[in-house]
Amino acid sequence: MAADGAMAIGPLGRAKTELVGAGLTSAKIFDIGEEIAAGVEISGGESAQKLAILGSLTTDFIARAVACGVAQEDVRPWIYQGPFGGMVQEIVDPASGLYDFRPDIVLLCVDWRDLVSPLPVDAPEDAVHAAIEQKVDTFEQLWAALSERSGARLIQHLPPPPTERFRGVSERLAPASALNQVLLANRRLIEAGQGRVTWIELDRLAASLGAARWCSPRMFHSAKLPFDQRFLPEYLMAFRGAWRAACGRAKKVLALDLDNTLWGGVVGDDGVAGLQLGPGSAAGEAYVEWQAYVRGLAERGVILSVVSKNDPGIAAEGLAHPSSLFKPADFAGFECSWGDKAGGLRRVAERLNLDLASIVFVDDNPAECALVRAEAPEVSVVELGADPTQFIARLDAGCWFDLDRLTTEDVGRSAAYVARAQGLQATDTVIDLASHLGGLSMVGRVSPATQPDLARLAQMEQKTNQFNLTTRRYREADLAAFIPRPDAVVLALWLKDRFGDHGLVASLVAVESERALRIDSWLMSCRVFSRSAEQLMLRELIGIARTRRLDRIIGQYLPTAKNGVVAELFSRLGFTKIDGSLWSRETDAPMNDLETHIELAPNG
Amino acid sequence: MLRFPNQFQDDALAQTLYAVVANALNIDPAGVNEDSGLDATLNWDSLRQVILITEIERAYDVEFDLDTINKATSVRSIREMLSQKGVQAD
Repeated sequence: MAADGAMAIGPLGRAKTELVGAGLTSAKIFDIGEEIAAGVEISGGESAQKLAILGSLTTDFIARAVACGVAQEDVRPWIYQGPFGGMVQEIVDPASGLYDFRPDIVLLCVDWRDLVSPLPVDAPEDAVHAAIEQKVDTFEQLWAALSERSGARLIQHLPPPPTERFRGVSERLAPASALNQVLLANRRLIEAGQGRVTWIELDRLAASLGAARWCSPRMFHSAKLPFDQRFLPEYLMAFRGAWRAACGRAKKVLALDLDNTLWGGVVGDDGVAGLQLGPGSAAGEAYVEWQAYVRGLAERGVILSVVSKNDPGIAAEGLAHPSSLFKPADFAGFECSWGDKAGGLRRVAERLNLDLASIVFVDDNPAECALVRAEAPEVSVVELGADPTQFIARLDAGCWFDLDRLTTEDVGRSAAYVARAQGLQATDTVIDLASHLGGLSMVGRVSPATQPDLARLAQMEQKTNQFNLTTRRYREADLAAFIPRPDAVVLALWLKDRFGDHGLVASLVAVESERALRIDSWLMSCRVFSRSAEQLMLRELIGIARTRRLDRIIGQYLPTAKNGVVAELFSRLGFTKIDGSLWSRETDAPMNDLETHIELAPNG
Repeated sequence: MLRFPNQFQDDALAQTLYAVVANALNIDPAGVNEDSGLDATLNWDSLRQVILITEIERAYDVEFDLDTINKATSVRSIREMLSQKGVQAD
């Protein structure tokens, strides 16, 4: 039963305050999710999203977990639950309740029973592959119908294989075994869904929680539940990971405490030699393994930062421990002070030019975690506890950094942010902006985007909030359609400087309209703001417009809560306001005002 | 049987059967008695039945079979099922 005080804040608030730590239970998810889905709370202008849930089995529990999960991400969910077992019918019928609902996101709750064909166990590999390709084709048609009729983003379950065994290891060599059919189908679905579908890895979740407990035959036969609903808390976390990936809101920064988090012991008290880190003790070995995991995240583009209550000099000594896998330069921010950690996290966000909501903070100390939750509620907090052998699992359970796929920019991002931090420090020693920018030795390449750039461009469209003039959120398929059009331009900018290679950092989509070239979308990664890259790109665009004998460049600025940084962009770039959100610049005007400090790469 | 601990859940606290039922149904414990049951008590529908069984199993560290799940549709019958498992619920 809900406490009186909690009732006052409504189910959306309760999803955030009550469904944490020990409060995250199936029963509570069921209650709060039901209230949210019933829509008893009036929308107060917060961002809202329509989610449709379709499945071949019972989805009532999943629907409630989805409602809670989206609320925890600060978005107001509206839920549509398709009829029991009606996944395919809802999608193929253009007049179904699904399309009437006009979903922003469709969640497809696929079960292994949807993927396995009834083949004899000795069926040859060709026959099995053909059966699976047929299943994959069916899904491709369903995805295409959904995209065409609703434009919704798609999230789909990757189901675990059934757990029953027949004659032991022999099944593994039989292509037609249910186990092998599900493994192959899941792999082929991921390949076929690239750029279109985000996956919830229920197969992995079931394996880590215990497949026999996950696929509860009791629950299946008594209520047609695809998995034991006691695992609703774990499902909710996995759903949120996929939801963030689908919405371009995967976390970007891992902020770490030091003492008893990155190593065992307190460096200020125990000294470097007294720390538990490295061979010699079980805990020391566990801390090294945890450090290796954190380093693995950094190698995949997660930006690391230290936020610790420590004397900065003493804290750095801990990193000099012979078994430490990190040195201070591996961190894009190093906030060591005796002030509060929420303040440190704010400085990290400011320094990296990122939202607080892009940070995951990990700490062993429950009090510090509670303080950060209260003072900086946008930050996701993971309490690691006292046992270093559990740290990796505790962080991983949140699926914070899950992505649909890695791009080369993800892999290089961490280094680019460290480079940016060093670039910022260099700012202190120079006086005027021009000589600072000149001192960065920037080299840029601007050229029309091609097929291999699409994944990165689509990713930027989904997640760039600040330098984003129109926030149109073009998806991979939309961008792919612009590229061959003779009346359109998709420009991409790659940037390097003396601190590192920033990769593909800006993009622009423009379309001819009467005698003008109209900029429909213009984005730039926040780590290269204020680098005169916008001048460079506009120069290129004007050059293209002149070649096409067009008279004007038309720009548009559509304000959002987050893109105030570019409100004056067109004015700064010599455009004249013509109408409401539209701006214009003549193509034959001299370009002396568009000064850039970025040297064009020879092939640019 | 092996127990796979749910890292998000604490072990159930010692509490009365009425409190466990009320918590699972999200209703006032004062509204629960021996006759409370499926389709008769507020919120107690077939979906809640799944939650309720899970919460009872968790609170008393027992596991019911399919037949028991189907029959455990009132507080009285749940008390009886628990007693068959050797649990005397308060």
